[in-house]
Amino acid sequence: MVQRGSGRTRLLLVTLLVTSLLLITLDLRGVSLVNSFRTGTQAILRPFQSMGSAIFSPIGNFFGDIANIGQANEKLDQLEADNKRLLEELAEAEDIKGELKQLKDVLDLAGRGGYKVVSAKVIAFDSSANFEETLTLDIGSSSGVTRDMTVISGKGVVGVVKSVTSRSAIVQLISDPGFKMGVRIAGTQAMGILSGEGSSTFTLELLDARSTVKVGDVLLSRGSSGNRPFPPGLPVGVVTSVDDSTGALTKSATVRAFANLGSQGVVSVILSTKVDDPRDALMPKPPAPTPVPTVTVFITPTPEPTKKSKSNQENG
Amino acid sequence: MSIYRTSITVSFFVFIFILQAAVINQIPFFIEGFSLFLAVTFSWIASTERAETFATAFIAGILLDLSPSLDAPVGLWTFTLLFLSYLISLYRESLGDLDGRPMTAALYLLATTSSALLIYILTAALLGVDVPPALRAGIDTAGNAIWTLLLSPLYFPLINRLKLRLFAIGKIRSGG
Repeated sequence: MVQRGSGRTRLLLVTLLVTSLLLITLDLRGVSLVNSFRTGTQAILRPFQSMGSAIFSPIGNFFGDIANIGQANEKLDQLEADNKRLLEELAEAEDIKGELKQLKDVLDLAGRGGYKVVSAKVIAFDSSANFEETLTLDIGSSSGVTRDMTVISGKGVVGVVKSVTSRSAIVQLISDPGFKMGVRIAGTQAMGILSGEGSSTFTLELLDARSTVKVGDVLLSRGSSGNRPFPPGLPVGVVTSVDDSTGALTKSATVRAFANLGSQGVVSVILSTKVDDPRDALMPKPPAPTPVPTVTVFITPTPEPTKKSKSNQENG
Repeated sequence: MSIYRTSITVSFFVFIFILQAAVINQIPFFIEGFSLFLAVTFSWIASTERAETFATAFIAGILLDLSPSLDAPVGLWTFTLLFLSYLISLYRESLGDLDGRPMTAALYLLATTSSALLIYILTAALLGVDVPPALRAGIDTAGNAIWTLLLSPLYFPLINRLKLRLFAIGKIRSGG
């Protein structure tokens, strides 16, 4: 049954609707006051997010283990063998080790590229209900971070700084549907545009229809004017499949990112670049071939029977 | 809506907003994410009178619009929630009292939260905001719908009781 409201209630609804439309209009027109509310909210939320991250990370890990039940079972067998104290120490050590490895990798990449970086801890991931692919860092403008700075992990590009407060920054991940960046194929130098799709794969569209792309091609950032937001030569991803549609005007391909966007604990923000385009120098090294063990066979010659043993055999 | 009720509503939704950002968003759900904020908003609205429904939707919408990770213009969530609250208020009598009917309550929450997400993304697309591909948006909405449905027996009665208690204290204080 449809219910009709009183005139006063209807007036309230109209007033609130008009207010919301006014806010939308002001925001679309770029009124900074409206946008600064969000920055203020981020500043307020930051301590809660840090606290939540510290308290609820173990719960998150628990759910993650359930999702990967096979790995969790193996871990469980291992855990049952140790006592409680050792378990806690081990978990803590593993956590630190993981972050240390990520930090070492990212600093190694930054060192090879000659970038001045500042490292940060990821304190929150986005809310998928908002259809945004972002993460929040525990550093902000007080550490020199500004908008449009590139964020990298040890394996390559993670995203770009979207907004900053004094002690936090929101990073738009390269998987965000609104994310686009210029890339080139290492080796052939063919250029293209990489677009996020809200998932772990991305779409590459080559600018020149005559260029070639094949599975396994490595993509590097093409670089932006003044190296902002992207310095050139950063590893981005690898081509996993090529769309060979004959009717298409440009060639396109599916790409998988080098950086594991879902499990970043530590990342670095590039503050400045020292050297020019490193070309293909930052390309990830191919995995070293597994050494084949050399089989050594020892042969001990059987001693020849002596005359005495021969006569014994004949008598016996 | 009295000052007491407004302040209680604002405080409650600010708390849920922080809870969503600090706790719920940290949990890696197996199937996409869960918007506790939306689920609580529609649980709260379910047993609210018409004028209060609009005010509640406005408060909740403004808070959602202040989410720092949003790209969409401020006011879009407010508009979406106001529009849905209007639809809910039109059919309130048909819904009846949901407190003693968990299945109907779960379906009501499923329909309202999913509609809110879909209306939001459609409006965002119309305004020229970058939105994910339709399949991705569908998966996100479906994931949220599943969690809203599964967890509704936990939070829906809790919200209703909490609301009754909070507003009852207000009545005693004001001598009403």
